[in-house]
Amino acid sequence: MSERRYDPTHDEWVTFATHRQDRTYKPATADCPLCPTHPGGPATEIPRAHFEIAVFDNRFPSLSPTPPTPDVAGTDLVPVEPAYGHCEVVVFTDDHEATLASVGERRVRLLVDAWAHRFRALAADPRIGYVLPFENKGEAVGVTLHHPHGQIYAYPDVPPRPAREQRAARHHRDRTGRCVFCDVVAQEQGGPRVVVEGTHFLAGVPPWARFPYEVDVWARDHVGTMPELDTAARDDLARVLARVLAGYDEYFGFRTSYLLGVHSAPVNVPDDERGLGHLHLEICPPHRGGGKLKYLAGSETFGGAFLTDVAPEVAGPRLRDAAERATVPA
Amino acid sequence: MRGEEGQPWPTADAGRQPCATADTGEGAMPGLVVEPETLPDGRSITYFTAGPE
Ligand SMILES: [Zn+2]
Ligand SMILES: [Zn+2]
Repeated sequence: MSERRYDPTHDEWVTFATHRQDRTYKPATADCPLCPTHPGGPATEIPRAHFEIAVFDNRFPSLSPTPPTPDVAGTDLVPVEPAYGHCEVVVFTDDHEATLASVGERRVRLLVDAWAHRFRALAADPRIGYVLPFENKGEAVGVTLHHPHGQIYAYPDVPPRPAREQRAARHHRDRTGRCVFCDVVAQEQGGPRVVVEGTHFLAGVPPWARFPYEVDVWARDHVGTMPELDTAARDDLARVLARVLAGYDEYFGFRTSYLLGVHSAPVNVPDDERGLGHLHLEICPPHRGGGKLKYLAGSETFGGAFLTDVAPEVAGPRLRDAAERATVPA
Repeated sequence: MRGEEGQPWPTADAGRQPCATADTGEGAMPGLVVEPETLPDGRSITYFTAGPE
């Protein structure tokens, strides 16, 4: 069963992908489906014996360009539709034991190009409204495959959180005439919450951090998507992102779990709507320090109201110091 | 651009793209190699390889 159902009580769509229950769950390292296929060895998802970055269609997609007919009929109140879209897997390296924090700046730079390439390819489908690259990393966030990888979802509409950003950006522009993210960059640069200050990107704990050690990476210029970045900006994004991730591992003293998402302008929308988008990454580790984890509890789940127990002005300098100390492989 | 084993690039019809700039944008790293292929079950896979430093 794979379909989307509309929740009229919250004005949002929920995707069902029950076939995903059958997908590979914590395989032994020897059975890793994201490792390269070694000559004479078992075939993995990736036929080559060596690769740098490989991106392929997810074998267990939540959203598919050829979605099955929904199991139930929709109603006027609760419409049901096929789960159209695309789901891709982005494998960062053929080294099973590496992480995005350990692969080095040059590989992160290659990832930026891969993201840009896939963004453009997926956005070329006129039925797609939003392209979301992300990485779920580590046991603490429920990851079932430890080989370093991310994913890209291409949705048939703009999902709730980016849609909310678009609304907030429109409201701010109507009120001030300016982009809210550009204003955030102007306010935060040089301040106490900055973690890594690049020439084209700024990484910092946002003043409103929902997770104690959340870091957002904002484009300094008003740019909506990765493909629009020039070489210098991509170089800088790789430099900043690699250092932020290495800084996490340095600060916590272990391989940090996190959720990382890339927010871009929506695609296949009117220019006015697209123009509101401002490229940024959000990185949310569940770690609170001292071995404790942050869970989404009552206030977050039912109130949509995050409670954070570390001040961003405290988390910022901690992560900044760690990022400066950290060794980032070339 | 880098060819494998010093061979000239196959034509676009062979499913490879010797020049990725058009697909990744002007900002792609120099020498980037993008190779789209098809998996045995019909799914798409694309390999990205950094050019020489
Ligand atoms: Zn592996
Ligand atoms: Zn902006």
